[in-house]
Amino acid sequence: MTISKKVILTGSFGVGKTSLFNQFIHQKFSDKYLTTIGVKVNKKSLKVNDEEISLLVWDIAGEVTQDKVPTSYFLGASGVVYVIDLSRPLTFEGIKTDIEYLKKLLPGGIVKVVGNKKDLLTEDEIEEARAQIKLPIDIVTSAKTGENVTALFTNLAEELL
Amino acid sequence: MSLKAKNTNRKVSNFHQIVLLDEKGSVLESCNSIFNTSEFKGTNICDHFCFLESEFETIKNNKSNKIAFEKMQTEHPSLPGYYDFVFSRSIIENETCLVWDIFDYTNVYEEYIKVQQLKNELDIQKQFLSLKESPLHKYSSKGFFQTEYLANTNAEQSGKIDDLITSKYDILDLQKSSGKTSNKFLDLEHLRDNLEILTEEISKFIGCVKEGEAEEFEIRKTIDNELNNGFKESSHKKVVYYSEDLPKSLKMSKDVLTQIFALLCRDESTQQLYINTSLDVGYNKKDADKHFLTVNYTEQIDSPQPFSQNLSMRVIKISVLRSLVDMIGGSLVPNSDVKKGAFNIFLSFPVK
Repeated sequence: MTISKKVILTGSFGVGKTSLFNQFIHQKFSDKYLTTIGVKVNKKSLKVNDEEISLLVWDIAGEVTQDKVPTSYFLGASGVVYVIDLSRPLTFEGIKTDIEYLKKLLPGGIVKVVGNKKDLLTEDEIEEARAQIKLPIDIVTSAKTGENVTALFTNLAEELL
Repeated sequence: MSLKAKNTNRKVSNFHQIVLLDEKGSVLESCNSIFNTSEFKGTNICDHFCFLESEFETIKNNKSNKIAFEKMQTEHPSLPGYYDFVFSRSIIENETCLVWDIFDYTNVYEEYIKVQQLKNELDIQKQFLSLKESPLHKYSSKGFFQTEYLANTNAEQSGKIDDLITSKYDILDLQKSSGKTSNKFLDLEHLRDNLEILTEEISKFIGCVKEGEAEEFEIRKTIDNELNNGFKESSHKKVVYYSEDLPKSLKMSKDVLTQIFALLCRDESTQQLYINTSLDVGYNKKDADKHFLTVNYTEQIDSPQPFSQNLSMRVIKISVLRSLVDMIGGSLVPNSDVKKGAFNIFLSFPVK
């Protein structure tokens, strides 16, 4: 039996949520930035610990702060992937407030903090960015190269089971 | 076009569809004004739409309030585009069912995307500009961030773009609330500079009203006639002289203006003037050398008709009214009360 879980991709605009979404669902990446408005939903099944899990991924339009995202989008969500762009400090400036807000909105839900655009930075620069961020990053990804994208969703799926 | 879903008394237009679902997610009935649900007969509709699969339990367990999802993008071949979805419960023929209201705002949201894209790109550029003083300034996005464009964008230009974006959003909100997304009358290109609308712009958007839609707004014919016939004496037998800076297309008699205002204050579904609307031309005792056209407009706000089909159209019309009044140099004074919206329009015409 397949278990379905709703996962929300959220974060500031231009951090690469849709790129992560497309990389995870379709294994595709485009350099061209295309704004998302509202929400786009797709699903992908993963096999985790011999169990089939279907992740229903909601790619939500980026807002500077999370309280601007319609709360209806979060209804019934089991996990949230909060994406930041490691090369743009403004995208993680309000991270603490945002994560608190999300945890309040989804008590018991799993929230993952993802540092995206790894391909644009050196290891030292990533560490420099980490030092500036007020919360620990769960995983550093590159939607462009696909690095850690599957790992992100697989880890999340494991925790959701 | 107006359609009705069987078993409901709700009117829908061609951008709105009502789908009735049972507790298992099967389609009970649909007015099929946007997409044909017959292909889903006997199946669970949640299997066809991802968002429904994840939301159905929540929707089903929701016994009281409506649940709304704005700006949902679907790639399903039967329903491609951008929609607002509203889910609620309703009792039809003594049985409870789930009501899925679908509003097709694809055209409007595609415009939103263009505006949002511009805004986001601009904001990102600003963020990178500010990074020059930051320890992270050396980082640069190789993706969508266009350094050349950034180098050529100064603060003044940014301000102008910000203003443009703000005004575009206003227009888009207006356009969306109209519920008539394909109406040329509401075309973004013709309304985006609404705040500084010029004579040419008026002519343009009036010219855009299709023949089929002209029934609703017969302004063009009226204005054309007036322009072709030249200026007339008003019915009050006073020669009206317009100031030189008044746009040519607005140099018409008060009768024509009155007619235009009447059209704009008319309920498009009943073709009747709104409640307590009165139009009058007269003198102000204190200012006897001027004519005043006064429009007193009052109506109930809790209209029985759906917002998108009635009130919002009035919003559009009032916006046009406002533009006209501004151009003529008149004033529009709100005078609202509980459950009533009212305003007075004062226009003055110097008379000889």
